[in-house]
Amino acid sequence: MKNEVDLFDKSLAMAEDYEEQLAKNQKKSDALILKDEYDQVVGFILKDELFGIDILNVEEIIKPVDFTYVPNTKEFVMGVINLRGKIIPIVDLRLKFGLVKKPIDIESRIIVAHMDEYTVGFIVDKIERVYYIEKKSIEPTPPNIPQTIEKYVRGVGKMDNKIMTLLNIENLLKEGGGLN
Amino acid sequence: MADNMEEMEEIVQDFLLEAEELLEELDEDLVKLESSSDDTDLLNKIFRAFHTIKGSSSFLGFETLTHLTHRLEDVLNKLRKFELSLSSELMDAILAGVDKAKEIIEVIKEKGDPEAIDVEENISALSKFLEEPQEPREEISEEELLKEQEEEIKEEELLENVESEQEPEETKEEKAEDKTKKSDDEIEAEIQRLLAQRMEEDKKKRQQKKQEEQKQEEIKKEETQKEEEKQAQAQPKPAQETKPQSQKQQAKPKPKPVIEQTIRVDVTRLDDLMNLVGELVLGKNRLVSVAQKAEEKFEGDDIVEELSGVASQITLVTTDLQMGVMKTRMVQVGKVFNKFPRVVRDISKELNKEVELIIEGAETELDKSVVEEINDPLVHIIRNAIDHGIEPKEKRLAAGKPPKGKIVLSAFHEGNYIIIKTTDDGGGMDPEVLKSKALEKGVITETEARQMTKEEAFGLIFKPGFSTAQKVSNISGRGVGMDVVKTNIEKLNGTIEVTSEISKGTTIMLKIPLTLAIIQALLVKVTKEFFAIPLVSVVETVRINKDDINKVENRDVLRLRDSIIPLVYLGDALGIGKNKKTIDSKEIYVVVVAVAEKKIGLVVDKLIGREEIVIKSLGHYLTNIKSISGATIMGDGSVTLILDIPSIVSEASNIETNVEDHFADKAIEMKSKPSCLIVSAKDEIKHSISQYMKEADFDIYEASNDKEGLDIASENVVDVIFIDLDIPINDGYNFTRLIRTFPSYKDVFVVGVSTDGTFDKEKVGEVLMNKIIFHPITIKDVDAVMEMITKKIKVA
Repeated sequence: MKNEVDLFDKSLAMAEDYEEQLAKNQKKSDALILKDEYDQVVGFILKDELFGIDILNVEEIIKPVDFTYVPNTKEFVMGVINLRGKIIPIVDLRLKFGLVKKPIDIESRIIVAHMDEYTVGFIVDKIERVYYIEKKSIEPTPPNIPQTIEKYVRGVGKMDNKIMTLLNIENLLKEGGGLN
Repeated sequence: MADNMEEMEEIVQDFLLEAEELLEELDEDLVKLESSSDDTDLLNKIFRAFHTIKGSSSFLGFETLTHLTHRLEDVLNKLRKFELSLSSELMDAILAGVDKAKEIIEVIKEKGDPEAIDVEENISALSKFLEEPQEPREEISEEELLKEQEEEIKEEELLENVESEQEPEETKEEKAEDKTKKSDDEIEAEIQRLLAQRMEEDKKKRQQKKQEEQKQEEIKKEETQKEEEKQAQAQPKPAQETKPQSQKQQAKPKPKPVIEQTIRVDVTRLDDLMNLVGELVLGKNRLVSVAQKAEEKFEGDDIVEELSGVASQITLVTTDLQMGVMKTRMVQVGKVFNKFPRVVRDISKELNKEVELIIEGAETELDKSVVEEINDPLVHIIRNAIDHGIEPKEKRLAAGKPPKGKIVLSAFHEGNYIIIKTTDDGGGMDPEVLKSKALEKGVITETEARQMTKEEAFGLIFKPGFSTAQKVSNISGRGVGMDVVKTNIEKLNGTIEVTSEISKGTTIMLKIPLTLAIIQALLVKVTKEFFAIPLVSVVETVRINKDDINKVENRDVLRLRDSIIPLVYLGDALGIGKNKKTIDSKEIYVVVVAVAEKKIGLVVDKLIGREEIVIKSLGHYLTNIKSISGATIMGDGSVTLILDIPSIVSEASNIETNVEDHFADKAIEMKSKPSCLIVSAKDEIKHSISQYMKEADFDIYEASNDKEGLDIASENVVDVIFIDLDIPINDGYNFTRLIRTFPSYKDVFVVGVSTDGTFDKEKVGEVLMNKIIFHPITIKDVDAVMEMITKKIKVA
């Protein structure tokens, strides 16, 4: 049985079909139990590595739009955008994680993530798709993770043939982007 | 159960609101009473206020508050019967009691334990005045008694049934007295009869006056009274026995009064409404800009004309709506001003000075949120005026002034601003004394002191840690306070102006925008960015050329009429100006801004215009960003940042800035050979063009998105630009439109590169693109371009 399904290009309604199918395979009739056992995660690429943000924290995914630079902010804050009347800061996740800067290109996307009253758009290299990750296969942050990132990682999700670094959205958002 | 809790909560909230209002009025009335202690109407009003609070608080079970207000009520009762004369000590005790009551209300509001507050001190202070022998009531003649008690009964009877259940022990004494009084059946019956008669007359009179002054409360009182009255007539029993019944009737829902001229509205609802209006203003701005564009493009078309008509109508309606919503949020500044007689009384008493406060323009209206913010600053200003401004009596007399100092607190409208002015007729401020004090405290340096103008010296009083008081008192001299004034007023986008004349007095003028959400702003361009400067801070804008800039101690200054204004390049002030060379040295724009008497000139690349903008916050992720106070959304949907002028002005002297470094001429001077800029996200395009251009001996700059391209263009002056029409983030047409706003790029050759064989002919013309070439690019294409530009190349 594969733990992945390509949901990104299809409608979200597919997720329910998939849940049913998974439930059938596992001989469990109750899809609710299934939800408790799996995390739905938006997978994206940052410098060839697969990262994931819990789908519950993702408001939407947009193509890069023109942003307005904000002076006196941390280096990784690219600026702010107007998202349907709301002002949202944009953060280059590559810079935030101390990776080499890559100019915005055709594949670049902005993941608008939120938690409590914090909303931030993260620029990532490329969006993969939505993954189902079994909760029990999520392992704590391995010690070899660079210190610059460690704080923002909540664990590593293991799948059949790949691993995904799961981000701790709370630490990412609540740190803020102002220079103090 | 939950319902009950909610209901209870609502009742408590109502009580708190009412009590707060009453206590606020009390402050004012009590101070008034001090000068006219025989004003019966005023005495009765104050008595009623205490009585109301006592009644409601006992009903709600706030025992301490009941206890306290009951004692206050007792004192007032004696005062209004002239059994007690009002002394300054008594007034102090009463005011202290009012303060304590406020404290209790505050605690209840914050869900604390109101019973924990100690009122014993206040109670005993008040009791002292009650202990003096009192004439027994029975000795007063019947008619007199009637007259006196009429009102008391009116009010007390309503509340007594409630009180009788919950009234704490302290009041039993009084009730016992009441009982002896009422047990006298004869008197009681007579009272009831006359009362009923009087009541009927009263009612008629009041109904006539209903239109102008009827309040819901009064109606309720009257209705209750009427009911009780009926019962009293129906059953000739002592009033107390009828009470259980009357209570039942009271519990019945009463018909709502017909006339309701005001309603209370939750402030958050008004805030929501204001936000929506803000969105509407943004939408309107957008509509207007679309209509303008359409007009330019299809001039004379019927539909365009109609669109313009609709746009101007919407503009009109939006403006009216905005005014309307703003007005609903307006409260009279008197709400704040009315606290000041009390403040002045307390402070002047403590300092042993005589001060008269004159309030003008209390009916001037401004936004509720602004009103809340100006209270603290005003307290500090008034406090300072009394402590430092007004001289002691002897000194005043010696100077030939009346012994009583005068402070005028006034408010009036000026355009979209409210001006709040405090003027004292005290000693005034000596700029030299201020300077030497500031030097002593290390607030300024010697050089700064020398250069300081009179106005700037007055501005020193707003520096934290600055105080001219010889000794620290309870009231002022600690050096905190006036800096609070500054920060609070700046938070409101307001400005402060100080004028002072030695031995004549000081005037402090606060200029505050009427509302916080929507402001007028001046849009400017610096490098590739646009910013909004709140118009309240802008004194004027001037256009100069490079010869107008002078150097004083190696800093740029501008001589403007009689004053010397330091110049700062806005790009440097915001930390985005490094290496940018985008100023046209023949047309330098300076925005002169002022904050609390400090003026500086912000040099910008271009003035875009004046616009009404809606302030939005940058959100929780970006809080307290230096130099930025918020953002707004423009007609085209882009975000423009609003500058925090006070912080820019205060930082200005620490900024390394040299306007000359940012002249576009500098970039040309630095150039040794012709150069070109290639902007494309595709490596093969960049590669092939740069190959050809290198052969032609050009310096090559490459960028892979429009922002990078604009940055390079603002640091250098290139002779030709190749721009990929599909460039992220905002396409090549937009890039070209923006680059044309740079002074040195007005007529630089721009070549559009189409990768898919298509282009928008209209847009190419509109943004003034000179030529289109197609991918794959050949040497022929580049040769054609070269031929067209050789005449134009500029090398110093």
